[in-house]
Amino acid sequence: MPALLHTLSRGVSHEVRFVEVNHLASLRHPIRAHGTLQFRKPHTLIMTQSAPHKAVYRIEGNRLFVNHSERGVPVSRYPGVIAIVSGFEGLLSGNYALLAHDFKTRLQGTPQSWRLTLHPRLAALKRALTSVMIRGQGARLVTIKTRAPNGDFSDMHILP
Amino acid sequence: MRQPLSARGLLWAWVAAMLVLAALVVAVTRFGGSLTAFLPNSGSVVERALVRGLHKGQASRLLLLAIRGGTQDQRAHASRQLVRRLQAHHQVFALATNGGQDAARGFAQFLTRYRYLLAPRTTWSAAALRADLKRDLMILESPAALSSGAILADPTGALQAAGRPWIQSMGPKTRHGIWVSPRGHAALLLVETRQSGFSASAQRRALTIIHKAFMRVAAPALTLQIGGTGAITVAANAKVARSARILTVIDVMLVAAILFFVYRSLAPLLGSLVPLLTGGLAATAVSGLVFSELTVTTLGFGTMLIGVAMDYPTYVLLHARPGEHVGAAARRISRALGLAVIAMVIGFSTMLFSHLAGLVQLGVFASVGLLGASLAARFILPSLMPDWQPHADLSRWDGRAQAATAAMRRGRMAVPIAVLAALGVLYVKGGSVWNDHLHALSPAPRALMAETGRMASEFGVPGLSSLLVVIGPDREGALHASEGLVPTLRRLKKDHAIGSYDLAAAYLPSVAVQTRRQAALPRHAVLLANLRRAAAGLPFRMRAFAPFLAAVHEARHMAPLRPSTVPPVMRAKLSGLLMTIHGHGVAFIHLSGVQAPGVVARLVRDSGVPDAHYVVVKRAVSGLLAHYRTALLHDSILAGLLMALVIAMGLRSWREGVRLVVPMAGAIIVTAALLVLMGHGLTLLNVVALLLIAGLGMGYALFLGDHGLISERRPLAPWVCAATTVTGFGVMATAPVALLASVGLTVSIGALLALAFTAAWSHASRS
Repeated sequence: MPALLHTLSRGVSHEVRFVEVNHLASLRHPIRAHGTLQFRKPHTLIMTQSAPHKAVYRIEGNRLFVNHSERGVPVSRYPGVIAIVSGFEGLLSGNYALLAHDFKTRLQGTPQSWRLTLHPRLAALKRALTSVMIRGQGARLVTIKTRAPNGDFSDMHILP
Repeated sequence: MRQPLSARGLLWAWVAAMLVLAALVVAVTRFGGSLTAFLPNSGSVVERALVRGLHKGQASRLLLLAIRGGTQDQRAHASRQLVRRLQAHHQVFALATNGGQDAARGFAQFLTRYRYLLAPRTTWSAAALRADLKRDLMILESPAALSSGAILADPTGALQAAGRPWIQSMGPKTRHGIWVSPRGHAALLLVETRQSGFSASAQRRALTIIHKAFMRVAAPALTLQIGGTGAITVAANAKVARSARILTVIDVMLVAAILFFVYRSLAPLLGSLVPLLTGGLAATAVSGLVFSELTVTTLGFGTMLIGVAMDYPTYVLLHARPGEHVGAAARRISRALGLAVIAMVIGFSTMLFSHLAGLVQLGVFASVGLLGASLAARFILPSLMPDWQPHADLSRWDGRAQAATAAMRRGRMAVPIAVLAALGVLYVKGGSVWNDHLHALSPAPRALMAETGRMASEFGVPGLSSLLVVIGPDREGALHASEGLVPTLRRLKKDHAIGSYDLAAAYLPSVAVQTRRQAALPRHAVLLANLRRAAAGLPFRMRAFAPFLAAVHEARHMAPLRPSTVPPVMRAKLSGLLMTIHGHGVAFIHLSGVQAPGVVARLVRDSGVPDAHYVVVKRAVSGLLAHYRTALLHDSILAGLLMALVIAMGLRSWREGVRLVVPMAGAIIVTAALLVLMGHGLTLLNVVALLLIAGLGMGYALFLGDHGLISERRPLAPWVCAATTVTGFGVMATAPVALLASVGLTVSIGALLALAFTAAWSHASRS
């Protein structure tokens, strides 16, 4: 596991394009989104979404800033965001301790084709998140699948 | 035959009394420590509210903890463990939090349940709901999408609105679920003690628990810094205790040296301690019986005051003639001694009529102590060492004292000149004679106070500087009345007259407001119909709104929250902002960043809220102290007249009484002027010290002059007494604690002047 993190933190491209499909139980049709994800050490994640709305989400530490606004809101109000932050940030910063603090981790497959499953430890996170499954090939992230207890799920594909 | 028997009986009675007193001290006396004991307990409701707010208010009970050093993970681990351990001590701590999940969950549950009563919202029309739903859809299409369940259970954002004041008031930023300092170099924790932050013993206990818990959980690289009123109180007490210990040793050695020079043997030295110990024990026991808690200040300062009881054995022992029993000498001077003690007790008893708990205690303590000590000097000391004789050499010193007194008499006209000059100084200095700041009475280390200020700004904890005090018939009434000030507060903030404000009604609206919000909630069928119309054309599945519809329905029939029924998570915050004081409800509104006090005062007056008062804490407290000090001064003047009366009656001559009292009063005036010239504003405790000088001065005057009270006076005795007093308090004047130093200086200068002035105006020997 630490070896994978080491590879990722050094090898992975820190700016990638993504396509995401969100299936929400409360909506009659799925939401399709695409844009870019950018990770800056030590703990800033910028998600630039081009569709369905043009928007920039900057997650810095534990605050979420929407569209360059100066006033951030605590991420804790959006458990879904915590999943992305912890998963993505934990992986790319190479900070295993952070990942292991928030999640039970399981790594399967080979270094060329691996699958990392995260199950939240904290009760607050458990209520919003069942699991996060990250698939990758070597130093490349391929998909991030997120599942919530209420049946919501999201598939994010990272484009090569 | 009778004499030795009664002496032995007396001794046994004394031993028994001492044992009973000691048992009393152990059994009933409780020691505490509180600066606010020196704040008035009478006055208007606003004043009392202020004292209570200072004493018991939440701001004073908060301890700010910062864990520094080590790695981020070590700090986070220590922070979590520390909180868990501190929370186990729930009888000591009302709150211990690091901003972590537990606290957040408690709040979330509470806010969720009451969100429709707590959040300001009046319209539930289809149009308003549609605007909400469109905003919700935007959120669902954002990266926050996975919390869709939570978002649609509360589509109008009531939870967020209800939580806003809490989130804004819960200052520091969070990292990995715990609070950290702005730059992330320290993990922060907030602890609220149940006891007042000014109670030294309670705070010391709390700090010990925290330090012990920290030692258990922290990695060696970590350090713990604690700020807050409690920490300051403890440090201040420790500082006073430390310097008092060192100075007491020096003091005792010097005084012992003087007395040893006078007596040339050890027995009378030890015997001199008997009256002091008797007085001290009696004072502690009686004060312990009368008051529920004896403050450390009373004990320390009181012991200092009754330290002058060392004079009594000196007067008794030095008057023993060759071949005379000590008992006979004591009888010979008993009238003069009695008058001196009565004069001093009259001086101290002015404190009994003050409305300061601390001073009343001090008055009782000192009066009882002196009475006890003088009785012991008169009756017990002679029984302990009946046959002791002064050293023959002393008669030479007696002659010298006599000569010195005579020299003083020749310069007697210097006294009225000095007094006139002093009166001039006091008149010119007028306003700056007094120092009425509370911190002038506080021995708190300045560095720690500054450090606490810095930590408080890291935490976003309100300082106690400006307040609006709103009074109502009960807490609910005060809460309701304080809501009337909200438009004024908003305007003041908009106009930058104030930076921000914090009031209970932001967290807990009054019942009236909650009922109004309830009444605005639509019936189930109406809400459902409005929601359907609002959602038309939007991709929502209606079943996702079921929790929302149920919550609104439930909220319509809930009993509104009242100050008495709020859950514990809320109580911690509210208890500092809303209180019951002497049967009235009082709401405190904390103001910070006040730029225009004048505007605040005017707008609050014009707000139409009947019992609302703008209070600048420092100024208000100074005003209270000044008010109190003036009263003490008036009482002191009365006491002075009473002393003159008693002395005159004792001497059976008006002229003699005046002759003794006036030089002593002159000494006090000159002392006050000298202190003012040295740049020391006079505090309450200085006034008490001046009362002490009055008593001392009376003693000197009675023993210096020839009034027919004492046959065969020993002119040396008052000089020895003055020497020990000036030495003892002179040592104290070198204390690093400003408070001790100032009192030490006052008494040593005062005693010196009292001796000089009363000597100058004493009668020459008639024989």
